[in-house]
Amino acid sequence: MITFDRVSKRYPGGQQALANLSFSLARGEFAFVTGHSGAGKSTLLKLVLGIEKPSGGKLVVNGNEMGLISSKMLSLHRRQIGTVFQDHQLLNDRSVYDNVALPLEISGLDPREGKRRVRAALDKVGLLSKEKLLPMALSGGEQQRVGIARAVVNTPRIILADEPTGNLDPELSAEIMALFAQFMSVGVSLLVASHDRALIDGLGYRILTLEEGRLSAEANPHSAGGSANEH
Amino acid sequence: MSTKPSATASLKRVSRLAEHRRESARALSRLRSAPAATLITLLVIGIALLLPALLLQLQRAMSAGIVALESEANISVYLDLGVSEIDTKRVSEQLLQLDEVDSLEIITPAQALAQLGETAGLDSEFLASFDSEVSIRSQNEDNNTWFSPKNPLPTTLVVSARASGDETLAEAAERLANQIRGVERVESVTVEGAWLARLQALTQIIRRTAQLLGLLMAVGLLTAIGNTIRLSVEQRRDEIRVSKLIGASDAYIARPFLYSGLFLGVGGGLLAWLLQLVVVGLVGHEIGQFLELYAAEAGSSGAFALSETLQRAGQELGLLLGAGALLGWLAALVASRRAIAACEP
Ligand SMILES: Nc1ncnc2c1ncn2[C@@H]1O[C@H](COP(=O)(O)OP(=O)(O)OP(=O)(O)O)[C@@H](O)[C@H]1O
Ligand SMILES: [Mg+2]
Repeated sequence: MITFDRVSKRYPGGQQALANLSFSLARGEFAFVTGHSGAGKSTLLKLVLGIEKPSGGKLVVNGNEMGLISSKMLSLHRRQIGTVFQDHQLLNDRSVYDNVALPLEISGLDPREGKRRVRAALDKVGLLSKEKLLPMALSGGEQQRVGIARAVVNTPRIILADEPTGNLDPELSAEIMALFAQFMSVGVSLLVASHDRALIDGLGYRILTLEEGRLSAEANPHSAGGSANEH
Repeated sequence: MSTKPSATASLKRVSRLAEHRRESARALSRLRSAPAATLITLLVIGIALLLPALLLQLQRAMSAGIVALESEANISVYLDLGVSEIDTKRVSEQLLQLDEVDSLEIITPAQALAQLGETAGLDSEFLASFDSEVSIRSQNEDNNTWFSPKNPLPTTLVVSARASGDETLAEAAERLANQIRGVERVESVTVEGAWLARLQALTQIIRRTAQLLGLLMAVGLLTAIGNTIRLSVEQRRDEIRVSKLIGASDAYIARPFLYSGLFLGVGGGLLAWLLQLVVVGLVGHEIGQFLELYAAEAGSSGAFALSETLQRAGQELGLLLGAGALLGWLAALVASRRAIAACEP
């Protein structure tokens, strides 16, 4: 589903964010990306989503070569990816419900059909009672969960999450991870950036560790679930 | 659970119509959320469309009048002073033989004087003195003809020309006039067309001005609407950025803005039409009178009925709405495409 082949990313400022990165993620596979702050976790996810272009190597996501993708294909590409952003990226002038419904609206889904899905997604993150509120009226953790609901509502092929549990307590974090795992079991590939080692070590999924833009360690799962590894 | 990928198979798409309804509703609410900018833009569009529309209407009214006048190209044939009644008859019969002469009317000096009196408002006793057979004698009897206030007006034949072939009436009249100049007892010939030609030239100028003004206004409108749309896009930069991250295409994001442009254009066109009705209501009477003056000179009346133009109001409305819609949509297309492309995540 996602193949990094000696990918590097250098920002215009001269900052080398990723260097010679190679790994691949299969369909239905769940992997964490971890590492210190500034190690390149967000950059890696941005490359997958096409917000940034690789400056070297080859990155293929869902059949699209990201270095060459046209802007027309790019929007189509993003519609198949659910993303939880590190800084939420919610629309502050739209209700929680409308924020979660946005991907469905963009995909042109019938609103009546959409209603059921939005409700279900909000229910999963425990925010059904706050659907009418504006994001500003929510706590940081609640906003984060709105972002999670929006990422999963359109049943994407890939879910990217950048520190999705950064503002959540351990209990809620575990619930979110369980939600993600449900998607993995139906063939969705997940790439989750997190530096919460305590949380991710206990789950037993594949862990990619970045250090100054390089893959420094890779822990493979002992348990089932991520066994569809392609290498 | 409903958010599982298996649900993708039963994905029910919203109808295009519902989608457009939603987007146009969104466009309207965006316009309403910035009432000042919307109103100013509407006024600018309305006035910009009004000016060329008014000029075109004036030109059309004048052209209609000119066509009506052209069907009566008259030639005034002045006979020698003191020509006898018999000679007058002979000359008019001679002229009626000509193919180009449609009709002919004799105006005797007495009739001419009466007409002059009517238009100049001279009192009848004063006029009568010109016509009296008895001369007022001065002390110097030899010089009495000097002071004889005899009618100074010549006998006039008013000849209507008839065009043949693809010759215009004005041309036919000019040719006929030259022919008549050679006739015996004819003192001078005048074609009553000079002022008509002037009016025609004026009409042309008005039309050219309207066209040029229309072109300039179109450019101005594109800029004004484009600017409003650009500002509206920039106000929603965050929303657009997030939508792009989630997979909205530029074309999708642009659609409500295209509706905004369309609505502004149509609204401005409607405003221009209403303003036009007001202006025609206020000065239409004066314009009509001005044109009637010309009409009176040619002896035809009601040729410039402005009400006839008002009957075309529906047509004018369609034209203004169409022009507004096209310009609004075009401006929004160009402006939003650029501004949206500039909102990069
Ligand atoms: N837009 C940018 N322009 C220039 N340099 C950037 C840009 N974004 C990130 N960088 C740099 O690239 C490196 C990797 O950044 P990145 O955001 O990927 O780190 P991260 O692992 O997500 O960190 P954190 O855990 O703090 O979120 C950093 O050194 C950062 O300064
Ligand atoms: Mg980061």
